[in-house]
Amino acid sequence: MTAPVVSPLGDSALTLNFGDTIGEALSARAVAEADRIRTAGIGGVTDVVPSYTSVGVYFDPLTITSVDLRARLRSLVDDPAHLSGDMPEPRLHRIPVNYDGEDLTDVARLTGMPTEEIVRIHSAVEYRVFVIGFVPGFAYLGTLDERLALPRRDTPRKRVPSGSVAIADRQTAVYPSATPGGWHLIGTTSVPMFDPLRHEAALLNVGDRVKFEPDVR
Amino acid sequence: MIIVQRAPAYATIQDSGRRGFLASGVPRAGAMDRPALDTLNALVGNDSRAAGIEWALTDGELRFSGHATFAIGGADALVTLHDGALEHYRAYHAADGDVVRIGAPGNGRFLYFAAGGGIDCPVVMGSRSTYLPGGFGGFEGRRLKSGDVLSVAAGTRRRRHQVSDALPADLRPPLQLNRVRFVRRDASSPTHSLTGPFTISAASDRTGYRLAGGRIDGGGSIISEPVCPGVIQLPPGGEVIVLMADAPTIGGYRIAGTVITADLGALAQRVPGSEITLEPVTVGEAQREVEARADVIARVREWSLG
Repeated sequence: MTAPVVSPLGDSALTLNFGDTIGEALSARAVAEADRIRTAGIGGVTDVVPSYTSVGVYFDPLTITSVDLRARLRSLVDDPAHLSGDMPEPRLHRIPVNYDGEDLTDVARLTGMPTEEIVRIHSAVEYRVFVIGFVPGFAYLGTLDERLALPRRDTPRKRVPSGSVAIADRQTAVYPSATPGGWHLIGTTSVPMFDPLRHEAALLNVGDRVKFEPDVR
Repeated sequence: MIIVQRAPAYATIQDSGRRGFLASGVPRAGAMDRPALDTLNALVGNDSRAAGIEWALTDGELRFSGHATFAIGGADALVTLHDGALEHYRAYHAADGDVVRIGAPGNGRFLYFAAGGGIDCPVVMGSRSTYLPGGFGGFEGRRLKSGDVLSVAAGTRRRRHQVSDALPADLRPPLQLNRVRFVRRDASSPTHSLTGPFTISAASDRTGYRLAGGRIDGGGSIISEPVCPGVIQLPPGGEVIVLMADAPTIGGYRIAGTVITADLGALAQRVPGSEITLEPVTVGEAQREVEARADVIARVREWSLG
C-alpha cells in the first residue's frame, strides 16, 4: 500500500491522494483513512471528506497548523497495521423506485433495449456511494452496468425534480433536491435523500451500499 | 426586533459558516467577507459565531422595534439614521422606531449589519447562515423580504458606552485588495502564468468568482476531489475560477492553489471589472496572516470594552 500524496488546500485544509484510478479499492482506502482520521479526534479538525481517490481534511488553523496536522496525518496513515483491522460492514439502503422517468424511453432507444430490461439491469446491482457533492446529499453511485452507460444529455434541464433517479456514464444517483441537471431521468423515489432539519441530514454516506428496488404499484 | 422595512435586491442572514457537514455535501456558506463580520461582532460585543445581515446590490431600510446596539461595515454605502450619515465600524444605539437607511453598496460588494446579541434565527446544521441554493438556514432559507421581522438575541451588555468612537483604521479589515495571496497546490502548479493581472468577471457570485484575462494553460478535468472556499480551479477552457462561500464541496477541475483565508474576504469585495493580481505565498505565511487577523479581532474586542 502506497503512502498518500499530501498537498495543501490553502491554510485550512489538506488533501490526501491515494492514486488515480476510480474503483472499489481506492474508494475503500479513502473511506477507511477518513474513518481513521475522524476516530483519532485530532483537535481543530472540523471535517473529513472522502472522495473517489482522496480525502480532504479541514481544520481550524488557530487550533492546529497545517504543518503540525500534516505530521500527525503522516503518522496515522503510514501505520500499516491500521487497515488490517475489521472494517465495519457498510450500511445497505434499499430504495424503492418507480421507474417512470421522463427519459426512460429515450434511454431505451439509445441503448437499444426494452424499458423492462433497463429496469432489470439498473435494479440488479448493489451500488457503492463513491462521493457526495454537487449539491447537499447528492450521492454519486457506481458502478452502473456498461450497457446503460450514456453520456450526459446534450442540453441539461434547468430543473430536475427532487427524488429523480438518474443515470450518466457509469454512475447513477437520486437528485436530493430540485436542481439543474444533465443526467437521464429513469425513475422517481419518495425516499428523502436530504433533509436539512433531520438529525442526519444526508441519508447516504460515502462507502454505503444502495440497492434500488422496483416499486410495483 | 428589527423589521425589514424595505428590503434590498439581495440581503441574507450569514454567520461564520457551517462546519462538520462537508462530507454530506453541505457547503460552508457564511459571510463572503468574514473579516468584516468578525470585526462588527467584536465591536458590538457578540461572540464570533453571531449572525448578521449581508447586504448587496441596492438600497433599503431597517426599522428598530425596541432598543439595540448596532454597527455597519464592509462595502462603502451611505447609511443614515435620523438623516445623519453613519460611519463604518462604529457602534451606535438605536431607539424604538428608529429607521436606518442603507444605500446601495458602491465601493465593494457586501455591506454587513451586526446587532448587539446577533440576529437570532434557527440554527440549521450548526449555523445560522443562509444557503440560498439549498433553501435552508438563515431567515426561512431565503433572501430577506420587506416586512420580515428579525429577532435579535439578548446582548451581553458588557459595553459601558452604547455609542463608541469609530474603530481606528489599523483595526479595520482591508476593504479590497489588488494583490491576492494564495498557497500553491504543489510544485508543478502553473504559478508563473497565474499571477495575472486578472479582471473579476460579471459571472461572479457567492458560489465562485471568475477571473478573466490571460488564458491559463494546464487546465483540465480531474477525478473529483474535496475543495473549499478559496480554491483556484483551472477548467479546460483556460479560465480561472476562485471558489467562494457557497461552492460545492467537491470539484472536478484541476486545482492550482487556494487563496489564503486572510485575503478571501477582501477578494469577495472586488466588484466585477476590477483588476487583481495573484501572488504565491507559503503555508507558513498564510498561517501567520490567520494569526495576525485573530490578533486584530482580539484587539477590537479590547478596544470596544475600553
